[in-house]
Amino acid sequence: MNVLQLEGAGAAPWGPPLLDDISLALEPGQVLGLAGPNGAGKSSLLRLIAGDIPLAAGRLQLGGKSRDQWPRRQLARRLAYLPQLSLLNFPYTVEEVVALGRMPHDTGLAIDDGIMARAMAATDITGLQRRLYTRLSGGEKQRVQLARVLCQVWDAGPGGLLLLDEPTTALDLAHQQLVLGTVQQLAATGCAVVLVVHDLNLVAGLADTIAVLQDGRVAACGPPREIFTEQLFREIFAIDVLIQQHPGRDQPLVIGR
Amino acid sequence: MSGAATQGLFRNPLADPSLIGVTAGASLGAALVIVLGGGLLQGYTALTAVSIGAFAGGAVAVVFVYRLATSPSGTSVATMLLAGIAITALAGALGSLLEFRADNDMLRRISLWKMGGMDGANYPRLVLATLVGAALLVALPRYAGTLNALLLGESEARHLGIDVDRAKIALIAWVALGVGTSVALVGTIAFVGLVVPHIVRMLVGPDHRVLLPASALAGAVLLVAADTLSRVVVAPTELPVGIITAIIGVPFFISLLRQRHHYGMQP
Repeated sequence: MNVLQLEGAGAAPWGPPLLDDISLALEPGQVLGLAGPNGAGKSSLLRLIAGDIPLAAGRLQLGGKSRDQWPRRQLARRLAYLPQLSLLNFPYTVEEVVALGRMPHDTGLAIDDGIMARAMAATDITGLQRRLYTRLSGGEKQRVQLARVLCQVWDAGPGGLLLLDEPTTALDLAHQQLVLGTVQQLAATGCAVVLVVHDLNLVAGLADTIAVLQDGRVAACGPPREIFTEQLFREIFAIDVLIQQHPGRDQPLVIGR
Repeated sequence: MSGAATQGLFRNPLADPSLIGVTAGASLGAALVIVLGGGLLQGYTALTAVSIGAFAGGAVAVVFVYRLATSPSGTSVATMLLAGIAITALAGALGSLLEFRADNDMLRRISLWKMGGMDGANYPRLVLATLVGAALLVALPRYAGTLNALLLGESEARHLGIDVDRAKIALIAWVALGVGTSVALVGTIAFVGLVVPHIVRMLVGPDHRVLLPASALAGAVLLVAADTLSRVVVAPTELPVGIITAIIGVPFFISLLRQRHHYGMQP
């Protein structure tokens, strides 16, 4: 059964439609990358799936059921969402923030602690766990929030769905690699992932499927190797690029001219 | 404790029940009763009537502010704060209008009540305070986890599986009950609701599972200490306790604010 199924979905939370006629399906363990220029509707699509903005048209199903059919906590155990911005302004310790991700679960302290320790190791914040969140740098805060949502779906397995909105913007190269490797490992457990990452080479190496959005519609959707064409970049991103084969890995490489 | 819950709800360490208009509404309610019914009521009847007026005023204010801030898409905390400020201004203006119309005796009673004091304590009041206090002590800590998640933001809390809208309504109702009752019983005692949770948070951190009961305890300790002081300073006269809490508490609070970076608190 598909973890996520969108059929002709549209959203217009403030009048003019932000998303129109979106049809996507996501299987367990699949990684879907969302690409597109600023304002194309990438974040809106994540927020629609997360339930932050209402569905105006079409259908949205999570694990074969509509959102209303899910009890809140049951849904929170399999669906986690990392927004672009986080406004936490209270002096929690890093550990306390990460622990909030286990809130919907009743798995008990021992299991929760184990998952938290692994999520913190996977985002390289183990050494920060007693520090105050408010005193961390932007990149450290981003990793803490990421560890929180990782904890939430760590043991979700097939049926889990993790939504990440630009999880790597504030990270240095080493941490970008670490975080994307973690996402890959999570996908290997069966949890599906939808992520927005602006670095297209990064997303091409990670995602099984990429959906390119333009003006709230899906302009192209498929494996990176098939949809990354010089014509697509000219039409949608308005730039001239070279598409080459990555010398070390089986993925396309986008090079600016 | 109501202060701690409000600060969590508004995700602002400087929020206070007075910000959402409860205190102002309660003051206006009391002033209305004093001025309109002042001549007719005597003794305990008058005290009771004033208390009911304050409670009703606080409840009306909070319902009005909440209605104003709630739309089909959810409740906006920013709108609610602004509405609270507007209600406070309106209640203040209406209160001034009442004072303008009042005679000397009423003026004195209004201003004494506004300063806050526990000199009117008697058994019926004590029973009411105990019942409401006990109810809050049981009810609010049940929302500790919810408040912890709310600090992340409303939609983040929703994604953690919390029924945010229902929790907000429940929290506001409990806070209105707590603040309305205490304002009705002892007048507006400045500062306790705002500063006690702030001080406690600096000592024990922002985890509401500890913060709520600790704030209740610290608030009670501060108030009892201030009340004792108010009875001793100019004995045999009793100073309104609100004056004491402000005079002692504000410098303490300012010194804590100056050191806030030691506690990782953002301005």
